Amino acid sequence: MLASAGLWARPGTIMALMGINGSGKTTLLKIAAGWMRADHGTVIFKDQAFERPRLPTLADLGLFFLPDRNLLSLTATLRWHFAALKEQFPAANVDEATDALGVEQLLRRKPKTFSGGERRRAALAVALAREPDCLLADEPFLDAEPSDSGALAAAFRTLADRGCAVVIAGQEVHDLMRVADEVVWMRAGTTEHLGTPADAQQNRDFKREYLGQRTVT
Amino acid sequence: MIARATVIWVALRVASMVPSIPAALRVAPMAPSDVLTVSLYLTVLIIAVTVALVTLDGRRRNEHLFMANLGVSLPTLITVAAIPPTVLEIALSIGVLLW
Repeated sequence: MLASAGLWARPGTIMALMGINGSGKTTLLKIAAGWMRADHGTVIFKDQAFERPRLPTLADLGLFFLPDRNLLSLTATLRWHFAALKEQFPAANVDEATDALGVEQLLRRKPKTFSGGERRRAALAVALAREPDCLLADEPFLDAEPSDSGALAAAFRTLADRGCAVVIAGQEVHDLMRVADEVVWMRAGTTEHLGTPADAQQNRDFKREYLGQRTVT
Repeated sequence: MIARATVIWVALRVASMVPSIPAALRVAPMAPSDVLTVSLYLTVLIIAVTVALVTLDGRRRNEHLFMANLGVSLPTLITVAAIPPTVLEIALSIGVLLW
């Protein structure tokens, strides 16, 4: 599926990875996170090169992977997830994260009872509490309500402001363009760096092939 | 996970006793060794099945990805899942031998 794709996440910036369905966004994120094995290629994280990266190894170093499906265990309470996180990473700032994403009322519930928006907020709250150095988020805005989108975007910005390199893949053009500092376009298994969202909107091919006639504000 | 492994081990051990119960009931007085089969083959089999079921159950519950994000690898999870059935099998074997 991927031909010669590359992704360079920089600390303190939010990168939007955009492209049509099937272009390889999820595959690239999974490979970068060490959750899927590539035929060839290298993941470089914190000056360490990994030919066969593994998510647990990268997570220990400060990477967090937010998948498009549910991150959380369906049958354990959200409180348990935060307790597990705190046990593994004592510096995790749980109170601030639950407050920022408004998930305090979900703490005693299990994710299988959450709505789609609640699951996304809860998962991002765990990521925010972890305060990773690099966050790879796949489709975090998918089906999010407008109010949820604002909270999610604010959380991503908080992480970036703290020096986290954030990569967000998705199709929600308005949400992604609003929150991103840089745009990478994925097409036919390759990546193309388009610069800032404003630069991306000036790119003729990107406009014609992906945005269509939309103007994003 | 430890609790789940324990429950599954108990269920497997009870299941392994079922075929021996009718014959054991004809013996009086009945001893634990009449229904509890202790052998290396069965012990390894029960531990392996317990670990496999706990691992599959963890995948069904979507726990592996979350644990991986905490830096916990699948081999570590498998090792943790193997601890309860191993300890319980050892304890059971000692108990039956000492009876």
